Amino acid sequence: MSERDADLLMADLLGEAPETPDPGFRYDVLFRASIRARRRAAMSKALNQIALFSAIGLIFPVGGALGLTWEMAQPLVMATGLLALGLAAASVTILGPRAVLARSRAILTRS
Amino acid sequence: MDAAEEARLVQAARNGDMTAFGRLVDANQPAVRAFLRRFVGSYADADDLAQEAFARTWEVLERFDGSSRLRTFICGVAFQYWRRARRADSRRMARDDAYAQLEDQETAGDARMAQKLALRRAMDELPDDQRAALALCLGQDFTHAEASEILKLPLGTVKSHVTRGRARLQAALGAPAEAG
Repeated sequence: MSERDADLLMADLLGEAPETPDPGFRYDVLFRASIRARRRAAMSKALNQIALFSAIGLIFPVGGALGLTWEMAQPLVMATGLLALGLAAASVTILGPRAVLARSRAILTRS
Repeated sequence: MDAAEEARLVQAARNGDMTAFGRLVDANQPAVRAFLRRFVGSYADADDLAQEAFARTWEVLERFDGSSRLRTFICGVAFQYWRRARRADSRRMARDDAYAQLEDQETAGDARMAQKLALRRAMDELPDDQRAALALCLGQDFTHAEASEILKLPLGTVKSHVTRGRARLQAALGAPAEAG
């Protein structure tokens, strides 16, 4: 028996190569890949939310430490609040589940 | 699958095309699963590891530079994954389970099973790197250069691992070990 044949025999005894195609294996891989993608997206979203709310929570202590009184900060807080409301309304209009501009967005995405 | 077709599918998969990635899985699974079956011993554990490696490859496909075949990259991912995840106790338990299965079959009087058991024991006594080099090169699925890239070892070390490991396996089978 040649060295090559002996190697192939030992390889076969240690573990045979699977028959292909194996749709079950492919399905399991794609399933795991999609779970990992979902998990990663959820983690990223959670981290973004934590960062955002931490930043919002830090505004007042930092402002206080810098000597900013409520009377001084009130116009800035109101302007920021209005901008945030505008951003939320725009997001719901453009990206929401029943978006008013969904049809326009679909046309733009297709083109 | 030729290199050009593989490169085209890799590019499509990077752009999020799951169908292209599915075709890459189909094309590369025989070599990857055969390597892991020979390396790990238990078919179930090997296939589980192979699935994790393919799923991880989907995430890190951007890092694949195309200088080698994709199966080399996937085997590298699988080997690193195994290294990180291994636990001595669970490995020993899995090995004992595999021995028990083989021994049960051996009592049925199958000579091939006795050979399998002897080879498996000899294989499991080898150091990890040597076992991995043998699992890659023994079935002629990977060249020494590819094994060197997967295991991140110098080419000479891989050749030496394969030669020494082969001699140990031949001795376990009762065949005279060849010099070299």
